[in-house]
Amino acid sequence: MSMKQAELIEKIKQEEQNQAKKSVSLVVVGHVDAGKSTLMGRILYELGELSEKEKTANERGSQKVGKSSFALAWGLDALGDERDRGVTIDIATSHFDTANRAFTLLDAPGHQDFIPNMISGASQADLALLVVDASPGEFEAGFDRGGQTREHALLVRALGVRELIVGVNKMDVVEWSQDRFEDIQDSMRPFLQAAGFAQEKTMFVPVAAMAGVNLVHGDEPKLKSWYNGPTLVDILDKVEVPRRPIDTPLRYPISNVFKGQSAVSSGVGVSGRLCSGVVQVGERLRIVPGDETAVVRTIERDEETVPYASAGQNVNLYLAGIDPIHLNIGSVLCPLSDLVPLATKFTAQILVFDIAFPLIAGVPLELFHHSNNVPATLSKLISVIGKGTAAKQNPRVLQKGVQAEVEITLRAPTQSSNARAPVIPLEPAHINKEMGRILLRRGGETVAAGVVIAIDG
Amino acid sequence: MKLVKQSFEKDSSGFITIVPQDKEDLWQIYNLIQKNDEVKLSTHRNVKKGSGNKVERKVMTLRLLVEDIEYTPSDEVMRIRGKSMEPNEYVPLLSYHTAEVQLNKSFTLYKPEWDEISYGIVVKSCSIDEKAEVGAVVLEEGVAHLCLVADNMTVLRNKIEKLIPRKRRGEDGGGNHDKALDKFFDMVVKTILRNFDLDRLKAVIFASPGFTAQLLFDKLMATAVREENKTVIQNKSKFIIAHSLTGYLQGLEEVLRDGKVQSKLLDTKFAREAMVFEEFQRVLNEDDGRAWYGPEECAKAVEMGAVRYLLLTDTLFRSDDINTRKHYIKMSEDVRATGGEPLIFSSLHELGKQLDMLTGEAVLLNYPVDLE
Repeated sequence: MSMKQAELIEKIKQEEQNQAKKSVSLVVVGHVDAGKSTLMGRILYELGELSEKEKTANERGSQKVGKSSFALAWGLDALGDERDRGVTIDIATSHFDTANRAFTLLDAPGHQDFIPNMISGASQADLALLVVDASPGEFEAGFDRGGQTREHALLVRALGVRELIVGVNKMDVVEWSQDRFEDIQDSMRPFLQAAGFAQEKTMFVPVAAMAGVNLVHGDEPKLKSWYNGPTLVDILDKVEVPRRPIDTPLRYPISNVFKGQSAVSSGVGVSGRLCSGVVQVGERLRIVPGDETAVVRTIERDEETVPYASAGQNVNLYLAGIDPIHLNIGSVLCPLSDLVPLATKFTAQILVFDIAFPLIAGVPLELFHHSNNVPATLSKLISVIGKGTAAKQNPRVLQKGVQAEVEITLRAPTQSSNARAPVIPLEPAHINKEMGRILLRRGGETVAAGVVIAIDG
Repeated sequence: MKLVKQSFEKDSSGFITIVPQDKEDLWQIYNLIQKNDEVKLSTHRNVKKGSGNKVERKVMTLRLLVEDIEYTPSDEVMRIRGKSMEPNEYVPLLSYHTAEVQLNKSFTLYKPEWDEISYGIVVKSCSIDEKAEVGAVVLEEGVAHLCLVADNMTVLRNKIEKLIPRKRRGEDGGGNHDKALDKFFDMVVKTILRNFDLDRLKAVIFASPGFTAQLLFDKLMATAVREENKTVIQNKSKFIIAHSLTGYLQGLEEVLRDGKVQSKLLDTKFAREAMVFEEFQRVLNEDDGRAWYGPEECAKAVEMGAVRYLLLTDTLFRSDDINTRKHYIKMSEDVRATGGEPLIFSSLHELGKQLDMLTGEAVLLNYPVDLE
């Protein structure tokens, strides 16, 4: 019962206008141990997404291993290692509804070692919640050089997130001190502005995740004495929804491949977010890179099956007629008629971050693009666009803070010449914005972010 | 490498006879041989037998005028192509032949001119110091690189990739993820046991972001205990768990710079190179005119006598053009004469590859100079 593509697009456009609840993806980021998972666990619980039964089970479980303060976080930290060590390792995806918005929640790890996972999550988000720890010394540890607060803010901005909410957590530890809240706000504002977040698009909200204050309800007398702003959920309920590129061809970067186990959703499943376009049940899609195709059997959104999905939505697709061996994290699903190009070498315009060592030709880097993470190198420095000065051709070196045009080449893993050249699916940003964003990291430090201008081979 | 015989004339022409013993020696020989040198070695050749089409494979010793050398580090093979210089009953003069250099077979190299660099390679690789070879596994969840690191080369032996499903809501205890991860570690452990000769290696480094390296080590030990693998248990102290910021090969560079790992390696050549290269990058970032790269810039700096460190890759010395090679040898000598230090990076190491991308030559100066 599949519809023609054009009809479907028309129908979705109409629906979007009439729809009461608009869907938005939210990524939760911040320094390690700021309380991201706990905060989201608490919200899920208060909004009824996490059942009383699950909560009790987690409380009991965490108490048993002597980590009772992690009970709420266990709602999202499901891996054995995460629970043993009390730290989020991988992105947890969940969903919740407020009065006017339907949220897809991506809970990111804060630890420096797991930034690749955080990037994979943040590239699927419209909106970010940056959690900072208000307790004495902890905010400073997370915000000063070496802390993840800055890097995460820069990363989400580079990945296209324009709106940021700063959740100042653990306010109960500092007795709901207004001074502390304002101190934090004052030290972060200039940085966020420099990072590219507009003043009016950044909101600060004081919260206490463990006790559940000012998340859904704000009934703490000490807080009420000076704060009469909205609660966190109130802010979330009013966020702007970006325009979705549903007219452009489908691009669905795979962020997970798994085996479905329930009756409706058996077989090979993939999850991810539609960067652009629409997809419906029964459609045949091509997996890039590779020569394989698969048919969409079921589309699952927020644990319910739906007949179609459109750009901006996080969905699971269950596929038929494909061996899971051909599905890789980082591959892109696209329509047979309109494939995403593959690149080994491309030109990009990048902004170099505040780095300790300069970027020179040949420096080994890791290239991040959606859930892809591949070794790459700057093969040519084409030009530097200085602040207010004319472009300089063929620069020797890229210093911190400059904008530059560079040629990036993926690195083959072995020395032998006959190895296949690595490829990743990419598109220039003027054709598809979301498929054209890249991040470059070196040795655990994000060195640059940018957009693809042209694919060279 | 074993030096069997050497003989030089007054004009510094002459020959050496050596026996290569491992793949690193092959690499050294690759750096040693140039076009128009002559080699004498035992090789196989298919020879026509009688008048029919029957072909017989014969072993013989040939002396060849070198035209081309081919070396693939990952396969440990080196082939030399050239024209025969000493005819015998099967091979006429100037007939083409391609010979494979074999380990543990003697090999004679005639050069019209032995310079400081080439003789230095022979002396160094024949020194009796025990060679430090280290095994390394650089990994992150879902991808592992097994490599062998020697003084002059890093060889990637295996790359293991496995798709690890990410966690999903409603799967308590990780479910698919933990199962897949366990299987992945199993694959890595098996590959390690098959490819690493633990008795011979100086040390084995496991490096990863997060806890992955520790988990792999635990898995390896558990497997060894279960299978009663004595080799692993006896060599337990050789394993080093280190932290790297990536699971890709470039993570290795970071680990090898680490003091804890350094102390286990005999040779400190790599550490010194890493230190100088880091310093070079740092100075380049400050942009105070003390760090330069490129052929013209380097030549100018050497002329001024301002060089503290001259960084070159061995690729430059492998040039077919004698004059190019001489140019770099002279540069090295000049730097040494003015109190600087020339360093030659092996292009089989990560740093050498990076330097190669930077034109292959760079200088770090004593004082700022504008060379542009």
